[in-house]
This record gives sequence, C-alpha cells and structure tokens, in this order.
Amino acid sequence: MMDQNTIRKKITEVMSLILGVDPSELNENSSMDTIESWDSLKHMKLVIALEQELGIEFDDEEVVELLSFRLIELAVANKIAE
Amino acid sequence: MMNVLVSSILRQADPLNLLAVESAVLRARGGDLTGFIPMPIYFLSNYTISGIDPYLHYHGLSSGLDVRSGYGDYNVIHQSLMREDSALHQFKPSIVVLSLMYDVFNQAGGVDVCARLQDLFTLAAEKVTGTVVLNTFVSPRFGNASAAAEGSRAAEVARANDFIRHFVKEHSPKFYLCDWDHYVKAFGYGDAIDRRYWFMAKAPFRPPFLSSYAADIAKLARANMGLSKKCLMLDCDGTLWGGVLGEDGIEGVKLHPNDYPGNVFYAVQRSLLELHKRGVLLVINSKNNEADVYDAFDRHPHCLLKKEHFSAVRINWGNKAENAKDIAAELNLGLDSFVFLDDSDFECDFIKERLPAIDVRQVPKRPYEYPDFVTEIADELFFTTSQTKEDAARAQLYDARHQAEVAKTEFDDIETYLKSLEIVVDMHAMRKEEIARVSQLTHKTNQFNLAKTPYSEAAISDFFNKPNCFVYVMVVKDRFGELGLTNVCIVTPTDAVQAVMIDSFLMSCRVFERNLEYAFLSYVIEDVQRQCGCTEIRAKYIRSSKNSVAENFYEKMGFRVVHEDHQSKLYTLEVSDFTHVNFDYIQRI
Repeated sequence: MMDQNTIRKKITEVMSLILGVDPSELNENSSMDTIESWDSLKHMKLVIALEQELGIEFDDEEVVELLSFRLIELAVANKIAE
Repeated sequence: MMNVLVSSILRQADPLNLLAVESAVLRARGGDLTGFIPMPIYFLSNYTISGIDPYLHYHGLSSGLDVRSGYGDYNVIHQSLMREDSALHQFKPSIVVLSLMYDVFNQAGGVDVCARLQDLFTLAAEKVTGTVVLNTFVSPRFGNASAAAEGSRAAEVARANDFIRHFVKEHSPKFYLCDWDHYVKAFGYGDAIDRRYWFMAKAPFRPPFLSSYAADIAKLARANMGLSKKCLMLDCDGTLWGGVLGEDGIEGVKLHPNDYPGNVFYAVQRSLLELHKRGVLLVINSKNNEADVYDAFDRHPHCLLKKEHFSAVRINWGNKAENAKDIAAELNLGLDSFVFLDDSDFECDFIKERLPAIDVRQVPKRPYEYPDFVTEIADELFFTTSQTKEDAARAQLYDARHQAEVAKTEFDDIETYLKSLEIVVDMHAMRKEEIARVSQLTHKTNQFNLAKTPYSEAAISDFFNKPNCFVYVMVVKDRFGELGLTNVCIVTPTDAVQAVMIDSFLMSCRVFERNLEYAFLSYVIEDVQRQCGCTEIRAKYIRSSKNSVAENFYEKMGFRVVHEDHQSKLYTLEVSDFTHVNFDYIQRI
C-alpha cells in the first residue's frame, strides 16, 4: 500500500515531466488554469501516465474531473482505497 | 556512430511505459546528438494519433534517427495531399504515415471501404515523394461469430485488410505496412486498445500499441537510411546449442528437434539459417576448441548450421573484443554493422564496454524465450526494405524445401515423390575449382562413404594431375534449389593393366534416398571404361561405425565379392556384365 507521501511524489513526478514544469513550481493549487501547457492532449497523457505509474484506471467521469493537483491526489487516494 | 550515453539512457527505459519514454527522450535530447540522421515524419489520420509522439522520438533516437514529427489536422487527409501548399507538403516528410481507423471511415455503415481506400492510396502514391506507411484495421473484438456473414462488420474489416495487404505488396517499397492486428495480438485487446479514450477523444490506443507502431515506423526509417545491421556475431555454447561442447561432447549438447531444451536451440538455429538466407552475414566469436566446433557442425545430427554458413570464424581462447575487431576488419564492415549475441553476462558486458558501437544482445535466461527473442532481433535490426522481392523468394525456397521434407511422407509412392522433385544432375570429371569441395567431402562424409579415406587438397590435386587416375563428381539441383556438389568417386590404377580400382565412393547425406548413387556409379563405369579401356573394375567396402547404410551397395550394382572379413569386403565387376541403370526422374545435363 502506498502512503500519501509516495503518492504525492509520484503525482509531482508525472505532472512535472508530462506538463514540462519544474517540480518546485507545483503545489496543491496547480491546475489547468495556472499551468499554461496543460491542454487537453497533455491531460490525456497525464491520465495515462498516472494510470501506468500507479496501476489504476480512471472512469470516464473521473477523467474529466482531474483538473488540479489536489483533485488528482484525491482521486488517486480514492482509487487506491477501492 | 551513436553516442554511448544517449544509447544507454534509451536502453534503460521501458519502451512501453509513457513516463519512462518521456523522461528518456528528454534526457537523450539533452545529450550529444551529433551524427543522428534527421528524419521528418508526417501523420495524416482520421483520429487522434499525436499520442504516438514520445514513442516515435524514443524509437527514432534508439535507431540513430533525430525524428521531426508533424501531425495533420483531424480528418483533412484529401485536402492535405491535394493542396501543394498544405502543411504536409511544406513539412517535406521522408515518411508519410497514412493512419486510418475503420470506424471513422465507415461510421454509419454502407460505405465501399475498399474503393475509398483505393482512391486514397492512389492519391498518396501520386502526391507523396517519400515512403507511405499504411495500416491494417483492428479486427472487432466481438462479433466474430458473424464474421462469415456477408456484410457483417467483421467480414468487412477482413476484406479491407486483405485489400490493404495486397496493395502494399504490389506497391512495395513505396508503400509499407504496419499490421495493427499484430500489435493487438501481441498485447491483448485490453492492453492495446483504450475504448474509453476512443469514445471520449478519438484516441483509441494505449502505450503498448503506440510504442509498437512507432517502433515499426522507426524500423522502416532506419532501413530507408541504410542503417540496418549487416552481421550477427554468435557465441557457440549456450547460444547455438545448450551446454558446453568441450565438457558435454557432441552427444551431450542440447540440440534436438523435439526434446526440451534442445528444441529451443534447434528453433533458434532454424531462425539463424533463415537470416543467412536473407543475406545477413553470420560469424562466430567463441571461446572453444576450433576442431570441436567444426566437428559439431559436421557430426551433430541436428545441427542445422554448418561451417559454410559463416562468413568469418574466430574460435580461440583470446578475448572477444579483439576477435570482434578482427572479424570486422576481415569483412571490411564498421563495428556498428554488428549485433553480438552471447549468453554470458561477462562477455556481453565486456563487448558493451570495449566496443560500444556493437549492438549487444544477451540470450534470455529462460530458454523458452530465446526463439522469439531471435525472431525479434531479426525483425528489428536486420530488416531491409529491398529484401522484399528477391530475398523473400530465397527464404521461400528454403521453406519450400523444408515443406518438401514433410510432404515426403505423404506420397504413397516414392517414385511420384521423386518425380515431383525435378532432380537435375550434372556428372563430370572433377574440375580444378572443385578440388577444395571434394577434399572436404572426403573428410566429412561418414555415412554413405564406402571406404572413407580423408584426402587433403594436395592429395586430390595429385589425383587430378595423374593421367591414370580419375575423379568424378555429381552436382545436384532440384526444384527447390541448388544442392551443390554431393557425390565423389575416385578411380585409381591397379597392378593389373585391364583393371581399375574404385578407391573412394561417397555421397553427402543431403541427397540420400533419391537413388543418385546408382545413377552416379553407372555413369562412372561408363566413362572410365571409355577413358582407359578397362574391362574389370574392383571396389572395396571398409566398415566403420557409421557407414552401414552403404554396406550392400556394390552387391546391388552387380559386383561380386571376392574377399570378405569383419572389417572389409573386396569386389570385382566384369564391365561387359554390367547393366547400366537409368531413372526417368533424374534428368542429366
């Protein structure tokens, strides 16, 4: 079972690499509104990378809600708890 | 030559993992890409394919290519091709990937897909200067029960795929095919296809599919640039057979058509032989006793690879990097044309470190994974576009011969089978250029060899030069190809003027069971009598542990035994009593 810290680290790694932003620039409030490169194609990549890295799969409804670091973290925690 | 750091970054990444691929490409692009060949690739598609981008860069860089990618807007394929100032044409791509989803093509049903494809492909052939990559459509996951029903979706997809395959075959190498169904088969539908993103974003493929697709495109790009590997360097123990030849002996090494794990190595040898037929050079770089290895090639009953399949051989106890450099110099090839295949961690690491230009591949630890591994290397590294026609024909020839061996049992009557082989023989007095082969056969033929006496080339040369000695050979071919020089007969004088002696009579095992030995001896007797006017022919059979197959050969030809002991038989034949034999399925030229 992954602890919250590990999950957080993993999400940071994925977002930083896929969105091309420095990890230091990411925080809980990082969202589609604050990160310019976060477009719909990047979003799809983000979802796929998160799924591969964490061994989970999001539903169609969850996919469209993963709009910020905080929301991603919540959704991942829920998925892993399932 | 490829930058060592870049290649090691790429090699460490899992090509099916998006994050690993993204990260590797990012880091590799930070390295020195001098010497990488620019490769502009443009996609025209009727769905969202840009997700392939990281994999395309990854496989491109792994192949020494600096990919520049472009993606046409969704579903404007015709316009892009037709308009001369379109983004496509401005991009000046070397490769255009015409990437099509069946479902978009025929969303409402009822469209004549093949006719539309034909139009589109013809347009692409006309408007694109580079290579055009097509794809087959993924067969529907469900509904195969209705595949036979005319007009069902499964049947339509199958028909379209037949059309596409045929078109690419007809228009190779201008057109190239990526077989999508193949990727689905390799990973399973669920891991290859993402139904969620298909319906949500017209992006149907998961990472394993995209990565395989990109790898195929990179493979084509590399072949187009002449970057395919040319030579496979092989170890022996643990690579060509299981076990250690020096310890286990020929009988002990693992190499067998049916027994595990020998059948693994047999399958591998079969693949290696196919590579050889395709024109890939095979060489040996092994720590072993040279004589032992040659002995295994000659005498192991299931060793498909023979000495003649290898373009260069280094079997010694020296270091393999020196051997490899030696071989490269001998063949006049750059080290980057080589793939090194070995089972040893030590040797693989050693070559990687000493000669980083060589592509090192290690035999998998699980034996049963080895044959697929070799097929993959063959496909990935030795793929060439020009191979399509002539080399494929050669490979087919080889396959056909194998099938003929299998088919043999199906002929109820052996003569019908022999007729179907269309055997053509050329029997003649040995020519100077055949001396080496004749000498070789006297050494290596053990079964059908009436009185085995190994002769050096010098000794054969002596027979050739003496007016009262005669060396005859038979060269054989059949409808499957050349079998080469397979039969040898050496006739020497005796102390009696009217009599000659058949000193050696042998036949290579590759032409057994065709009655060629009878036709050959018949020819020899006829010719030798004409040459020297002899009236008596003597012969001998010397028993060995292996030549019992030939034991009664002379008797069958009408020779009379004049002396017999447990080791040998001596014969005589009055030429006037001899009845010549002819077989209507053996054609003489």
